[in-house]
Amino acid sequence: MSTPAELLRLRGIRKVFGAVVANDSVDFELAAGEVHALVGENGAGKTTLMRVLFGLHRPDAGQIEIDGAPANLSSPARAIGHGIGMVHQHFMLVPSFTVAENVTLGIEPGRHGRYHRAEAEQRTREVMARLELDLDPGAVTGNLTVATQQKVEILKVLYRGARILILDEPTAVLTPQETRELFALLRALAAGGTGVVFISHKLPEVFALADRITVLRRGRTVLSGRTAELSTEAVVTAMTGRSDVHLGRVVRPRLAGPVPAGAVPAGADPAGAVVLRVDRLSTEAAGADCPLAEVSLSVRAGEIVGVAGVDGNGQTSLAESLVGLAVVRGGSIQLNGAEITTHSVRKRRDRGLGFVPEDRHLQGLPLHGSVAEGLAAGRVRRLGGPRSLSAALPRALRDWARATVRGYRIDPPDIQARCQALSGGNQQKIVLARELEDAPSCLVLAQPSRGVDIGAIEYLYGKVAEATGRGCAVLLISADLDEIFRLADRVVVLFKGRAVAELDTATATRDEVGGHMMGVAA
Amino acid sequence: MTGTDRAAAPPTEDSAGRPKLPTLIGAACRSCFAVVLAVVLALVLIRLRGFAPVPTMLAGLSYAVGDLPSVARTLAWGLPLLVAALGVAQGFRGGMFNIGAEGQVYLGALAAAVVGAYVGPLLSGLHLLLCLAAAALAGGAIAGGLGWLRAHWGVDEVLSTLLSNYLLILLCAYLANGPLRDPTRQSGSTRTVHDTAMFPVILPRTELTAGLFLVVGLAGFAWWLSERSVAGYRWRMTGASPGFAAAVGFDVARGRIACMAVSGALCGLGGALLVMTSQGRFWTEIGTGIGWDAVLLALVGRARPVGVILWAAGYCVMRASARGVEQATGIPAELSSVLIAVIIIAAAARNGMFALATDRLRRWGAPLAGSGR
Repeated sequence: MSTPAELLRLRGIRKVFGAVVANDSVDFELAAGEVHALVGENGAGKTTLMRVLFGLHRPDAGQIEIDGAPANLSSPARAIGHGIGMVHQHFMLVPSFTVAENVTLGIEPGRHGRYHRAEAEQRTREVMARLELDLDPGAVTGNLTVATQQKVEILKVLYRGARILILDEPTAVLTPQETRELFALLRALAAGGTGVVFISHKLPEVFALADRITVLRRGRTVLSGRTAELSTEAVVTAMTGRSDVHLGRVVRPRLAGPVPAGAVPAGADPAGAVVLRVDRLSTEAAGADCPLAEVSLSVRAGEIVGVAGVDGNGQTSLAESLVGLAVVRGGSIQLNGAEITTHSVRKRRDRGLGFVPEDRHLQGLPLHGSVAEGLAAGRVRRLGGPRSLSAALPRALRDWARATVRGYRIDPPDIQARCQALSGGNQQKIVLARELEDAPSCLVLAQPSRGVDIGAIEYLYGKVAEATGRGCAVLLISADLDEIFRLADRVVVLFKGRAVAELDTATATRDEVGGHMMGVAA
Repeated sequence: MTGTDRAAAPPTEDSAGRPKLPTLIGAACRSCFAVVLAVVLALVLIRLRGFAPVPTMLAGLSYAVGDLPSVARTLAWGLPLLVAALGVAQGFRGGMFNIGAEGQVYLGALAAAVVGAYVGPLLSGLHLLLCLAAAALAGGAIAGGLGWLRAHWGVDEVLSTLLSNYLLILLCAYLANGPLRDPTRQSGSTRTVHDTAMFPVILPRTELTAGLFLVVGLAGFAWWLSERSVAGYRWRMTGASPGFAAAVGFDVARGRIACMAVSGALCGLGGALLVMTSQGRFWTEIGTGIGWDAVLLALVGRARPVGVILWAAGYCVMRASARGVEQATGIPAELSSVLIAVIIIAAAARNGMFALATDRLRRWGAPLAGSGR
């Protein structure tokens, strides 16, 4: 039935959570020596399928065969026993341990409870030799770059004898150069007979790496075939169920031409004057992010300026200090020519600053509140003093919220729905709707497409483009270079809290930006 | 309203923005579950003491709500408790765990007693107002101050309000035994307040006073404030999603202080009602436990004003019934404390238990439904 080279075959997998069918008769095959990409939007069921494969979920129906024989994967331990290894999106490494300690963790060489360091390092070197990697097994993992940590994660899985390697969104944290290195490594692994499952929603990468592509939508397999026989358009259509989605540069209405009266917020010059000016801004560290050191940048009306960088190089500090949530140590922030460096969040927003935070659940929305409550914040902010006792959500506001929900095609179209129950894309629409309905003169967009499905991303980009057409200045902080190249006019690269480069997206290449992201001038 | 409701929320929209009917029914069912559990336990305990369970329970119930005077007595006892519970709930909604209600009740009672006894006699309405204002101010200042410590210095309000109870109760005891002591009494009591500082009785030959109207007004105010008003929206957002509140430009620190101040003011008013509806003076044991009961009620009612009112009503009936059972059989009225504990545990666990039960049912039901197809 199955060819000898077939490592893995999933048939008719079904998994139901309450009323949600996460997987429904999903088929998936993996041959030795191939890279099989599993793509689909958020909530399409990729992660569920892989968790079934890794023994974290028990399927409600369906069969799993490994090497042609039915396998019972009731726990991760059993999955590992069958040679399945998983590299999670969030690394499972102990930062204070050495590479060898992390790689051998749980099955350390040694006797009588003693850890045998030399042997552990020797065995780690043996695994590294298979990958032609050259790391110091004694190096402390926390000191390594993210890309290297990811390699340690792969080493860890291989050390446990994995023949089936699952990688969940492995490139999300990598620069273009690092991504290429990872791909070379995965190709080498596949050449050695390992089967690789590559989960991603970045299609260019999928087409660059995979031998086969399987697309999931709403828990079902909608497309599966050899990469050579598939087109990007076909895959996008299969993912979204729509044929009008394109992945090229977002078309923006230019500022030229008559600007409708009232469309341009007070203070914003439609001719493209500087709206946001950041001058030698230094900050305290915001959370785990590194502080900013003398960052200068400016955004003109109608312009989108991208801020690129590997996560943790000051993006969060920049966003939070611009909106007034982080402590500024030096430098200045000007909005429409007025100094706002010491203003409260409220004053900055009253002056026309909009903010789409990177952490939607913590800062973007009242997760336990209703959609109406999530939309109303802008209006409620402006009601102070004696009006504190007036109704927060009067009929007029509810009508407005209902119209907004319809206008932004938020699903479900119910202003009483809990924000928590909405998909990432619909949650982000609420956040963006609230900010844009305030008609800001400057919008800080932090990681706007994180956890948002492709269809919704297109819609959000369109709305942002519309806003720039009205003269809104947009600062797009993103770890996703594709996003920056699709939207931004210029890109500023952050590295260790410094703005190390400023490039024109029309002339710059991804590699050039990537080089700056890693701190090496290209 | 609760975790399990959210997942299965049907997209039927209520134009007035009220919670949907199924959610309310669900919440009511789960609350009933806790109560039924407690009643069954009560029956068992009464049986174990050798009494006929059902007649004893009915006798207790008739003592609590059997006739008009009984209802009035039960209600009169519950009014201060309800106000304090609404106060604690107000704090909870803003994410501030004001468990210093007991101390604020004492301080409010003392403030009202002092203004009632040392100021006046005045025009009755004015005197009532002054006493209430003093109590609200005293409770509000303490809680607001502790809220300030939390907002600006990060002093955990659970700890500070808890400890403030001991400070305040002992301070009040000192004042009532020392500088403010009524020389004509033995100890631990302030002077009796002027008649103009007492709420008039509205139902002859009962303890039910015009304080009822004040409480109804306060309950309406508390509901509007926390569930419908702009201030309440800010406080709820600050409580449930502080990051969101800060990012959209609300003053989180101010919200915390303000909602604590309102919470403390309501607790203080609860204390004032103790003095102004029944006791007529402050004494060192005046409010024993009311503040703690208020915290429990706010918890069981999930800090929603309507839930708190319903639970407070049920609690008062239970307390009065237990007193009735004690009179009829000699089973100590502390029985009610045991039952309250059971209800609280059941109510706290009800989501988990309920989810478990429905999950089991579904699991058993699924194969049957499958074979039928």
